[in-house]
Order: sequence, then structure tokens, then C-alpha cells
Amino acid sequence: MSLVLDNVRVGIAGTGIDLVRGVSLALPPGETLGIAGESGSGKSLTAQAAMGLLAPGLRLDGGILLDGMRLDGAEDPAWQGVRGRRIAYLFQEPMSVLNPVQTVGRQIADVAALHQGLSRAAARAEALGLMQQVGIPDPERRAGAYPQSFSGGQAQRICLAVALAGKPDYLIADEPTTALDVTVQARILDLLMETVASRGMGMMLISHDLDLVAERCGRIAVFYAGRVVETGETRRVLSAPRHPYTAGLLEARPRIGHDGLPQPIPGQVPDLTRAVSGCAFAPRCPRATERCRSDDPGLEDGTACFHPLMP
Amino acid sequence: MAEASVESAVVRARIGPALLLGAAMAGSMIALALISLVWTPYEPAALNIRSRLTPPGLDHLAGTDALGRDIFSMVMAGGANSLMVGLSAIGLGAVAGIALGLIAGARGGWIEEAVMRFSDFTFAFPALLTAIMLTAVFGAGPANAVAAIAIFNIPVFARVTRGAAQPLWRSGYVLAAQTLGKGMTRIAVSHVLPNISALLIVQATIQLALAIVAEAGLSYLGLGIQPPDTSWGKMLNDSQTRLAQAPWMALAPGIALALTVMGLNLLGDGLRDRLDPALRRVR
Repeated sequence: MSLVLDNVRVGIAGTGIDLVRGVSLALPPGETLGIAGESGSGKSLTAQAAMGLLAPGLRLDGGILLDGMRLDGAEDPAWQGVRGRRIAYLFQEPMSVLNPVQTVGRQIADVAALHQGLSRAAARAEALGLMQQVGIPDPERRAGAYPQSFSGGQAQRICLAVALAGKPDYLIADEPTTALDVTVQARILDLLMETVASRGMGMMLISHDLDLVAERCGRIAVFYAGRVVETGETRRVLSAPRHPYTAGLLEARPRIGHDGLPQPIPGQVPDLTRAVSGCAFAPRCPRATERCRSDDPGLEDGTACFHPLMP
Repeated sequence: MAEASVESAVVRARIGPALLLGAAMAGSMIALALISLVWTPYEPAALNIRSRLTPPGLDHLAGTDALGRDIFSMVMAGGANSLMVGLSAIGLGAVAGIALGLIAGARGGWIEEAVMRFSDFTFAFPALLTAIMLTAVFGAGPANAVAAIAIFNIPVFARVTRGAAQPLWRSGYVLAAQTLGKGMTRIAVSHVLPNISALLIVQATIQLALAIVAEAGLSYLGLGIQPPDTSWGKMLNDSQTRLAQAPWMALAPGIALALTVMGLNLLGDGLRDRLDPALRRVR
């Protein structure tokens, strides 16, 4: 019982270019897995691959397994039974993912009717209940409103209600609070955590914000250049990082009560349109040796590094 | 008080003079046509040789024709027939065209190619000429006129639908609908179509004007509405042998046709200004 990605590679079709270069993750129900990494590190592509919704022109290799059922290479009808019903997706921009010409109540009810086989009246009642649960005041009245009349935070609450309407077992939240005000972020995240916990759902929380992931997720996977470079229990990863990239990320954060400026990681992320030899982080790594530039360190013991930092 | 007047000025500015004028012109002609279904001043087909070729006056508002029929009654009844043909043709053309456009946009690939090349193909022929040919081959009459006009509206609606729908297939809410497990058909009907309906309504209004002109053209040539029923095009045809003697025979159906077509075009433009989100953003 879990959502498993087995050595997933996402590349540009017809070329040898890989943007996600062999990611393996497992998400059991009831667990929250944080996915952290900078823009372009392949977090969202990995998530889209897990939903079978890669943009046209992208190619997928590797396995996607849901409770042992193989989904990679599945046809549309099979995926349609999974999307929304087993795995739901929460987007970064709540405003652009709600249909502007449908009332929010109907958008929630439609999904409830589709996946739970409810009648119109029952689906509407379900929608009102969900709006209540996600903290929309006066659902009776607000259900008849259009998305434009909601604030960003409320719109994200509506999106969560839509996502929950199919009673999914897994939720992929792709930067769900990045587009929101800082004050609203915390409340939306709290709601998300409570909801997921009370329903026993497994959640993948994707964010470029390491602190945000650190506070909420039991486990964490750090992405760099289309690959997981370090994974493990969040507390361990943050207090005693083994991969030099994770350590560099931690140094690069501004921290309250900490003297000195944040230290940036020197250099740039590699250009994935060119072949990467050895460890992708080697050119920026203070600990890199000859071996790092020629050999590829696999993910071993939660770290993809030949010279891990030891506590 | 002040607030109310500001508000009504805003409403007026948003509705615009074109919309009001167009609605009034087309609306009055449509109203006359509808009234004709239950009442006309005279029986439109009733002959009255004694009062033939009477000029417009109090007895006969728009005069009478060579057979003594009341022209105003004929314009009313003929309007009903013209509108009926126009509306059915647009209805058929729009349903088929929108369906094809949605499928083309959703599926892409060879289906899209086929639909679009079919559109190009039909656009290569002058619509009216081919409608004349079709009715000439398959027989004159309102049903064939409807079919002939409808065929030329299919590619128009298919193109507009596909063009407007194309960016929507890549929009956030379509992607979101996919993550919720909705199929292509469901997404097309419940997410794409409602978001382009304004555009389609505008297009339908303008196409209706064209369809009414086409119907008049066919009836003028004797290929549309058949006697004893009448239509504006047929009345124009009847009038041409007596143009010097009884110009009012041409005037009444001509004015009715012009008012309806201009009114519908103005209405379409006004609706476009009002409904098109791209134009709304510019303002």
C-alpha cells in the first residue's frame, strides 16, 4: 500500500536529454513526504509524471506503482480512475485552476458526483460539507459564487475541497502556498496538514522553501538537477545533512538569531541539455574529487555522495 | 440620486448605442414576424383583385401587390418564414460546427487536420452559389434551403470554436480537470464550451443575418420558400416586373430585410464589445 516511483526518468522525446534522471520515491498512506529543491530541479515534473500528465513532447521511463498496480504506460481510462479518485493534485495558482464560469459549489459537486457516484442533491450536500471543512464561512451562500469573488487563500481552500471531493488516498501538493501571502500561507498549510492527517492520506508536499517542508513533513527528499541527492527523516536531514548540497542549502537560508549573512552555494546548476558525467553537483562541491567527476554516485543509505559529511 | 445616475451612465456605456440600436431594429422585425403567427391585418395569401396595386395608405399600410394581397401582412408572414429558415440553418450549422471544432481542438492530430481541411474546402466555394446549386440539384423548398445554408455555417462555427478553444486546452482549469480524472468529452462540454459561449453567441448573431440574406437570395430565385407561402426574397422577385408601376412592392420587403440584417449585425458587434474578454481588457 503506497504510491511508488521506481527509477522515474522524464526526458524530451526524440532526444537523449533527461530532465528527471532516475527518481525513486515511496509514499505510504498517512505519511507526508517533503520534496525540496530549487526551480528546475525536476520536482514538478516528477509530480506530473506520477499523475500521468506530462506535457506532450516529454517521455517517461521507469515505473509508477499505486498499491502494486502498474500505471506507467496505462491508457487514459485507467488513469481516469486514478486521477481525482486515488491521487489528487493541488496546484500553485488556485485562481487559474478554477473554472471562471462555474460556481465553486458546482465545481466541487461535479467531482463528488463523478468519483463517488452521488446524485445531484447528495453531491451538493457533500460540496457544502467540504466547504465547511476547508474553512469557508457560510457555505450555503458561497457555493453559488464564482471563483473571481474569492481571495487567493480562499480560492486555494476551494481547490482543496475540489481535490478532496473524490475521496483520494494520496495528495500531491505542488507549491500550494507559493502564490499566497505569507500570513495566509501558514493557515493554508495547517489546514492541509490537519486534513491529510484526519483522513489518513499520504501527501507529497513540494516546495522550494526548505523551512516550510522542514516544519511539516516527516520525511524529506532533496532534489538537485533532476535527481534525489538526499532523503531521510526530516529531523536527521536538517540537523546532520550528509550531502554537501543539502548542507549548502541550509547555509544559504537566512536564519533568525544567527549571526552572519547566509552563505550562497558558489557556481550554477548544471545545464541538463548537455550530458552530465559523474555527480551533477561536483563542479560546485567543496569536497569533490576526481572520482566525483567521472563516476555516478547512486543513492545509497539516503545520500548520493562519495564523500558524505559525517556527523 | 447622484449614485443612481452614475450607475445608469455606466450601464449605458457598457451596453453601448450599437447594441441598443441593433436590438431595437432586429427586435422589432422579429416581433412583427412572431405576431404574424397569430394575427396579421389581412390574410397574407388572400387575393383581392378589386384593390390590386393600391399604393400605401390607411387601408393597406404598405399597399397591395398585383393580386391585391396586403403587402404589410405578407412582410410579417414572410419574415416569419425567413427567420424560421435562418434560425434552423444556424441552429443545425452551429451544433455540427461547434461539435467538430471541439473535437478538433481536443483530439488534435489527423482529426484536427481533417476538420480544418474540410473547412478550407468549403470556404473555397462561394456560399450562395453552392447553396443555389444544392437546391437546384436536390429540389427547391424550405427544407433544402435550410440544409444548403446550414452546410456553409458548419465550417464557420468549427473554426471559431477550435480557435477559441485551443488556448483553453492548455489552461490551468483544463489541466486541473485532467488531474481530477475527467475525460476529454466531459472537459470539452463542462469547461471549454461555457468559456467560449459568449464568442459563439456573437458569431451566431452575425451568421443569422447572413443566413437571412442567403434565404432571401434563394427565395428570390424561386429555390427557397414556395407559394402559397411567401418570404422577403420572393416578394422582391414578384415586385421587379412592376418596379416602375408599384415601387412599394419592393420597398416594404427591402426595408424589412435591411432593418433585420443591419440590426443583427449591430447587435452582434455590440454583443462582441460587451462580451469579448479580450476587448473588455483593452477598455
